[in-house]
Amino acid sequence: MEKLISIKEMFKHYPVGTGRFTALKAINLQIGEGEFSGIVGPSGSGKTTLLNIIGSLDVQSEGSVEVLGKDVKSLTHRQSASLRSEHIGFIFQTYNLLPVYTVYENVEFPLLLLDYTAAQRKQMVTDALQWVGLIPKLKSRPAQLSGGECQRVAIARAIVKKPQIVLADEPTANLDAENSHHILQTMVELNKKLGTTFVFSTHDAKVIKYLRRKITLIDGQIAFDEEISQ
Amino acid sequence: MFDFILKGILRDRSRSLLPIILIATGVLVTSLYYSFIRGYERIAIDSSARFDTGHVKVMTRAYAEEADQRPYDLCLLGAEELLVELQANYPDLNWYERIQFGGLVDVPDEQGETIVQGESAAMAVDLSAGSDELKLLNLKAALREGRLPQEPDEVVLSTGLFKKLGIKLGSDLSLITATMYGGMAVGNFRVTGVAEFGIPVLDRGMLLLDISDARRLLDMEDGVGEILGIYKDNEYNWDKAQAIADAFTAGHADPADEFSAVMLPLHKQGDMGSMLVWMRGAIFIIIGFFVFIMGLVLWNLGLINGIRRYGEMGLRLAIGESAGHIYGSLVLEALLIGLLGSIIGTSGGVAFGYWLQNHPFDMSHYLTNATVMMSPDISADVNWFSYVIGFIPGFLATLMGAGFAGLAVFKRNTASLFKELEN
Repeated sequence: MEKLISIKEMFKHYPVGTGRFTALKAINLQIGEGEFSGIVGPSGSGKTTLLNIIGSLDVQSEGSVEVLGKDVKSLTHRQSASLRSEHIGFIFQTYNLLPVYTVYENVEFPLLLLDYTAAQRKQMVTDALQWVGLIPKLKSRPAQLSGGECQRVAIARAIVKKPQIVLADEPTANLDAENSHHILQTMVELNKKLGTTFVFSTHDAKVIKYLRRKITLIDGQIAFDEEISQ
Repeated sequence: MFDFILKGILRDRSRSLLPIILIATGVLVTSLYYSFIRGYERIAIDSSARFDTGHVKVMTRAYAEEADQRPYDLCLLGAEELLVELQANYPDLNWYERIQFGGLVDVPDEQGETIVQGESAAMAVDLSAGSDELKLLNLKAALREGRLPQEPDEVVLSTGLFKKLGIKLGSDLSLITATMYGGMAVGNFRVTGVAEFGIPVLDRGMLLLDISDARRLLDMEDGVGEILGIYKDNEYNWDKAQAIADAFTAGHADPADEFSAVMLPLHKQGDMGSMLVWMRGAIFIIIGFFVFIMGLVLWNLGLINGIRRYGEMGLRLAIGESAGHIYGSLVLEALLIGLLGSIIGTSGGVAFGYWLQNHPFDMSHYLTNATVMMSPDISADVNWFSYVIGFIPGFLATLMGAGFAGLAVFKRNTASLFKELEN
């Protein structure tokens, strides 16, 4: 299995007054293609910081982080943006859909940053909306959708460009149990169908039970890294 | 991407409506203000040229130095020859001889005893049949009662003087003044008409007579107070007028002879120059002020918009849109909004300007005691510049506002996007 994410002896420090706070300590982690893994741990354990670095939104202070063979620390802003736009999809806790655009347009947006023709975009958006079961809602605005539907739009937006990695930060935090189940089921199916690597940041038990790999962070260190058989 | 931005502008009214209203209002006011000032300037030039200064005026140097006192004792002699020369050398202009002087009007009874007296400002022009003056001064339209002088020793009075004297058409009056040599001059005239020029300073106390009667009365054979030149296309060109005035004066001026002829352009006579400079300056001050204020307002709107769309910008950065691309899209949005606002504003300003051009409003109420030679009917003058004078600043102000406000996107820290987007 090809390693998409490779982290070695990685530290992340933040300046605090005259000293510094270490958010991540000696992280060694490899995540391969097609994994359905989660970084779990209590609040403040460093989950989001780790997800930021994997998503090239931030850089480590020490050690090395390679995402899709690229050293994220050496990337320029433009190269980081390019890496994200081409290869990484993001799913947020609060959906972050653009309210003035329809479902279709929200899903189409990441493709506008890439060199696809209008016909290609139409096909890709239609496919993505089919995967998440939102074809009947493609002309709706986010305000007309339920929370679960909004999160499915966010998933469609993350996977429409068929990225190699999808990073999801607490994707079910605002959803009830039933919607959470549907959302996670959708992501499991996409993981199987497209081979996309999913990396979650969560402390939600509902999510954890769907994971095939659980990486537990405690105080910025990997305490456990365990495969879970489904 | 263009479609995407356009849809956002059209659907998100808080993003576009207020800026468009602001820009349209500013552009409308600027365009209308420009057209209004141009109209005011045109009327000021036109009135002044027809009744007082010409586009250029030929006088003796001595007369020019005291021109506001109409010192006809310092008049030009050899007027006929000079007129022929002017007509030959400056065919783009029509030339008009004028004598302006003051006098005392005395209205006698049948026994020759004075009934009433009054001061008058007499203006002597060529009133012969077919004279261009009739058209220039719009005399037929100005006539309220009676007729224009057709015979020697006939005069037309302004409405104000006619009313003040309390006489009837056909009444005789005496005009008491001085000859150009300083001797006493008394002429008897018959009132044949009453005219209203629409210029308060003239309508208060003017007496209009034929220039040949004035020459006889003032002992000014072949003399003339001033010769007015007016461009045949009626367009006053500051530089052209200055150039021909300089050329004429250079060819005629004799430092040793105060009676040598000089030519002055309209803007070098009285306060006309400073008034025109002020008017033109005012246009650009207003436009500069407009760009500055609109720029500030739009900058603030851009900042407020940036706060409102904080999540959107964060999301776009997170999913891989570069800060430069986001900035470019914000500027493109501003361009579209600026374009729309400027088109609406310019259309409104020009439309209102055309309406004002065709429906002048009467300001005579405010000019009752005015001493300026100016028509009280103020209108706009719409020209090609009216279309761009608001449009370009409106566009620039929008661009400037969005350009400054949008810089914030470059300061956005991507490392905190996940946290920010969770809120």
